[in-house]
Amino acid sequence: MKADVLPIDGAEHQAVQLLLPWHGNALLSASEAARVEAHVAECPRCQADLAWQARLRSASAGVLRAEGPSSDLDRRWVTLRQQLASADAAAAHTAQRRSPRWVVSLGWPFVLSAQAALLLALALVAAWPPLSPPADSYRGLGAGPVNTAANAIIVFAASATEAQIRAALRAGDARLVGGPTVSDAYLLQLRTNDRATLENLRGQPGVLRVESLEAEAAR
Amino acid sequence: MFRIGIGRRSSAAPLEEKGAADAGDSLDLALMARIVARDLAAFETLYRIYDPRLGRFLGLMIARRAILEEVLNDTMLVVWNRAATYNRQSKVSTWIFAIAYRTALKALHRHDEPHADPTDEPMADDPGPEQRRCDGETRAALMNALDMLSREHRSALVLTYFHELPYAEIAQIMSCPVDTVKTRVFHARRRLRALLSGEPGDWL
Repeated sequence: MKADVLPIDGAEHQAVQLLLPWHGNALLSASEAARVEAHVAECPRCQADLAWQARLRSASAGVLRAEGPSSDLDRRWVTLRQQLASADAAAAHTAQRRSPRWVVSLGWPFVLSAQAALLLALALVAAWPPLSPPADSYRGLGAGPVNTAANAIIVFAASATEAQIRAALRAGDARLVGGPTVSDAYLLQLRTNDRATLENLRGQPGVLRVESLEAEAAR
Repeated sequence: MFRIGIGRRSSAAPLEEKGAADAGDSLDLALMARIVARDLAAFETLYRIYDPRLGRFLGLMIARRAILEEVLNDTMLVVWNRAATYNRQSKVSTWIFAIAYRTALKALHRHDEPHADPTDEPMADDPGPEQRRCDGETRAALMNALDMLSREHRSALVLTYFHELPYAEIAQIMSCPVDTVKTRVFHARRRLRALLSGEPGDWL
């Protein structure tokens, strides 16, 4: 293959050669454009170069048409939304495990001070004899230990009806414990967080996506 | 007065096109403000605007479709996560293209992808016999020649001729001085012309 090296004769030719790619499409300043045009009018090599660049631009339009993967845009957007939902849910899950919301809102110094005061109060109570025999305390039916930790996320279709959402939750023996996130994902607490339950939920009408946060964390 | 440049952006109507470009910038800025406020609908609009543009740019840097799509979405994920850091020092498009360029370089390094190979896996639907007849040889020759350039030279050349960006924006995208962009495009052009000098069709 023969190398067609463009000779650079002088400083002006060299300067114009560096500007040529942006000439002719309003991308140079007025002074740069005037400088290029003045030189090109007298320089056959630059004229030939500009003609070659025009052919390159023409060919590039065909290449861009052929190369663009725009036909799969919708599928890529759904994938990205799912990534956002997973990231949101994982962040929420992590925050839930690391710092309860009330700790975040009150701040650690306050919490530590309160903890110290509570320990002191407990020590004082333990030192005093009981004033009366302990009575059985009342316990309501709904006052059992509540575990609100999410172990999965779910994304419903925009067209999902309330009945479909209820049916899906029943089918998966799931509770909604949080959400929606910014990407419309909801946090779920599954009684049984296994593959069969997840598959069952995924197959429910109105459900777009279900992912286990425990699997996510283990990855 | 002598004037040859025949780009897709004709110098005959710069004001009209500048108006369109300004409108695009305004839309981008408005969308970015909403994205900072975590407006997913605004993000989807921006995504649909930029996915094809980024695809055309990255498609000439990355051969494997799986990596290309990964880079496309990783780029837009960064846009969503770091929208608040956009400081208007450059156009939104320049900021996004710079993210895409850096993301692509990292992905190429991670996957150790040597060069784009247009025959490896088609990037788009079959163009049909008519387009193949008209563009096939030229396109194949150009793609093969681009493939011979270094990543820096190829990126600078693609942003210049294929996307028709000013050298100042290309410098921002590639994080290098303006003079480096000019020099890279000069050498890339010279190398490309040498590579295409023996090819059939328009390049003769």
